[in-house]
Amino acid sequence: MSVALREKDLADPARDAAFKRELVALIPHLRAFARTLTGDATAADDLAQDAMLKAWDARASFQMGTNMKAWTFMILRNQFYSEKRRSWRQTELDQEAAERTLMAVDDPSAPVALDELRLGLGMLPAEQREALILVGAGGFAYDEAAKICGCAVGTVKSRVSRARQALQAILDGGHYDRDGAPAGDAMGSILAHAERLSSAR
Amino acid sequence: MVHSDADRGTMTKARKGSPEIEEARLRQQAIGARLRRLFDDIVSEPVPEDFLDILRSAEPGVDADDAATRKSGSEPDRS
Repeated sequence: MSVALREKDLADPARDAAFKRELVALIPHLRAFARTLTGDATAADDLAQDAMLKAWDARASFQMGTNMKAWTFMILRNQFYSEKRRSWRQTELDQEAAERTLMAVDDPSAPVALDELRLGLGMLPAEQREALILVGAGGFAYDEAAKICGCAVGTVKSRVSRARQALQAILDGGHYDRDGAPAGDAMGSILAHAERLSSAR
Repeated sequence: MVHSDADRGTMTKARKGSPEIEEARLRQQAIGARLRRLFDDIVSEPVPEDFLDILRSAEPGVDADDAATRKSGSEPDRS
């Protein structure tokens, strides 16, 4: 019999319950962040589950009442980079992600406009993509996004700005037509653009 | 201070409210709205059961070792 109590034996059950409620409420947001970050639904749910478990295991270090969404997003993005560091981090264009996204685009039930955006997102460098997602969709202020990414506020601002310009160029390059141009044409152009970018590396 | 025609042209183009700036702004707004929709569509999906299962099995007293032990039929010693 061991006299030393493990940390979890000392945990306050009421606090754990409150933490869990808040964490469960964040799961949809973690899934959305993971999927927009990776562009792959299966890999995204694995990533979101890992982040959720890491957050749970680290619950003693979380200060209740502070921004749990920002805290869990930081855990998720750190997990993402620790898994992808070698192949993704410094990549100008993620060809694999672009191709995976292209396959997802074959789903005829998905609206073309969102498919193109998803494809465009997948083509951005990961740092720009995450900054744009956090600020443009995640509801974070620049300073919160900076904390999540572990960089300066100015860096986040410039990444968001470059991401917006790049996305617009990608969507324009795909000759996206609001009246509904054939998706195949648009995708062909985007892929050609992707290949140009990738061969220029 | 004297500006060349070229300078003046640049300044005019850059002025807030010019058609070019306005169009770029509107297109950015449209991209922003699509990005939020892409994200919000995922947020509004039902959460797969395995998320909650995983979280439940990580709760104190139900850790992975215990789960394995339970499967084989014996209770973990909690004294």
